[in-house]
Amino acid sequence: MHIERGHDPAAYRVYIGRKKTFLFLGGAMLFLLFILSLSLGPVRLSPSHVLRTLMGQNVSRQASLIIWKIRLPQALAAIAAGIGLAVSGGVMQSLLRNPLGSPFTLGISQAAAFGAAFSVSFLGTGGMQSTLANAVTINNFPITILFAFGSSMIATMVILALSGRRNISPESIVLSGVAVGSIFTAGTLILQFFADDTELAAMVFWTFGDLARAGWSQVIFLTAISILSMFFFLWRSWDYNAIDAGEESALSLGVKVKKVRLFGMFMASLITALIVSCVGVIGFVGLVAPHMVRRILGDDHRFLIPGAAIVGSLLLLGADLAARTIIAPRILPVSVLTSFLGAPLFIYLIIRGNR
Amino acid sequence: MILQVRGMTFEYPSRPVLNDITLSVSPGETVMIMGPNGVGKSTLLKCMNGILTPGAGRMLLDEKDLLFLSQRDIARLVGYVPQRTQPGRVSVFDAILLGRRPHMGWHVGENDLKAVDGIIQTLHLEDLALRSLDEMSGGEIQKVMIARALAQEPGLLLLDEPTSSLDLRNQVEVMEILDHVVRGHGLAALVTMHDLNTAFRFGHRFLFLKDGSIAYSLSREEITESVIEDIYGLKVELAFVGNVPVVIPSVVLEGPLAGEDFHDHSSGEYPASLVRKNAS
Repeated sequence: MHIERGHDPAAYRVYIGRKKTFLFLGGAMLFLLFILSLSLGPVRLSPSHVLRTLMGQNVSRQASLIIWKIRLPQALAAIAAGIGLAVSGGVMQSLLRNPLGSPFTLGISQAAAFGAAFSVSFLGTGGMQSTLANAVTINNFPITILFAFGSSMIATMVILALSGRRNISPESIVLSGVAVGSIFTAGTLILQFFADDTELAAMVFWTFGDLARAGWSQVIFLTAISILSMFFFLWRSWDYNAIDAGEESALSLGVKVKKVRLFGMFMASLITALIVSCVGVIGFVGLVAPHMVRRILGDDHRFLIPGAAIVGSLLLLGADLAARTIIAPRILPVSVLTSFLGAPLFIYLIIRGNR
Repeated sequence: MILQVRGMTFEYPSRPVLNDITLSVSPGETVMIMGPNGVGKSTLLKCMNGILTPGAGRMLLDEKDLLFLSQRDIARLVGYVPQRTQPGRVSVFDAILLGRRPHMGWHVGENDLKAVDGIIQTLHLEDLALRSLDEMSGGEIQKVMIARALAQEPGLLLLDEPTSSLDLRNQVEVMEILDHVVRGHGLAALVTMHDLNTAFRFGHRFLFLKDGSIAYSLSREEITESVIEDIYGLKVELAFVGNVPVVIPSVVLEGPLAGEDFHDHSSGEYPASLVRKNAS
């Protein structure tokens, strides 16, 4: 069949242009917040000092130290984790065709926490130091991360094995994710029950997500992986749009649904596992950020994926900034703030409805 | 395009569904597939576009055997409108643009946009183009789904129960649109349908499935009461409005459930006033 070609649709181009403007404004806001979070803290730096230091000028030794050693890795970790968690949450929601899809609801985060607790209690990687600055430390960081990652990959494999099966509905995958999560949570509780004071402190400390935990090498790694995965998902966005329209529609449009789902779930879980092992459990971002963007930009993955990445990193960067400044010099766990900031905003968006 | 299916079979691991299906559809022809629930109508459609893989047989679309094409190549030749669709928060234009996926890569070209614009004009969806699918009525969504299938620029259109959830006006409108594009563009169309009267009005030929095989392949003039009684297992009467047959089913249940409680006509059978008038 040959279709009569119509005109170049001006109204549609305007409609798309509006979505691009939203992304652009979001990106600009992210940049401003990024500079702000580098300048605020116990020692205030002016934004111009921050910018000049970032560009390699030596404004002052103090500024260089604070930015390059402390604030920049933490801010980048927030952005990278925000991108990774939000993007993988959004993709999981589409692939499992369930609005509850997110790293947390699928049990991947809980599994990572279990892995870390396991390494603390059996390999003695947790310890207590009597310095004021850092009361609890984890002595052998790489090993703890390795165990957190391995454990979250087990949860991932369970979810993937289930998704690959015939006759299993996306609903039951999310339900089994909840079950997997509760098994790992129970495992963590048992380890905590038999742990001594020092180990218990290290375990509990680990379950609080903390962006300062990641060192430069991990930050660079996380940033690279998050951005690469975002572009991978973006490249597949038409496939996800097709799957959103229903499995049969997607198949009839030439999308290999099973392959796309399996590979997408694998990528999303891998990123989550990496993030959770490096910075701990940060709930809510993966669930909420994509939904916020859906309310504003709709379900089209061409815009949902970059939008979720921007909103996710805004949320996490904002939460981190608030956590560091609200009751300074005490620092709150960032995961508490993501919920405090994100949940009311989310509920407001739900109540307000569409547009 | 001409669709020719020869000796196609399909079975699920547990039970055979379709057996030795042979059929053909000419360009500009709408062929209705009919039969009771669970007889395999939807399965037959899904075998045509590679969602399910038949066990044996050939399916030729012009010269190409669909069995040997990739899923993407099939998607360039066969448009499919499933029975149920999930209306997401997507604009009508984007929903139709999705139908261009088999033809485009990641990038949406100007040609794709113009094709979608052309279809929107053909189906008179201009006012809806930027509305979100999740706030539209069933009839509007069904038109968008047909538009999406047309955006694939197919030679064969498959529609699974396109009118089952629509009100009277929308049923007629959707079928008229379909008839218009099928004849106007020389498409071959295979449509499953439960509603016999709508099928008889808009179809050109009628395949009746029974026990996984095609029991009858008839033109409109060849339809008789005994065919329908054989397929659906219930007594019917046929009336004709113009040259279109209209089916009036009789009561199904006998015994206590169909008793006098439901209609207290003294005759006790079915509402006689309704049926006997039409029997010519």
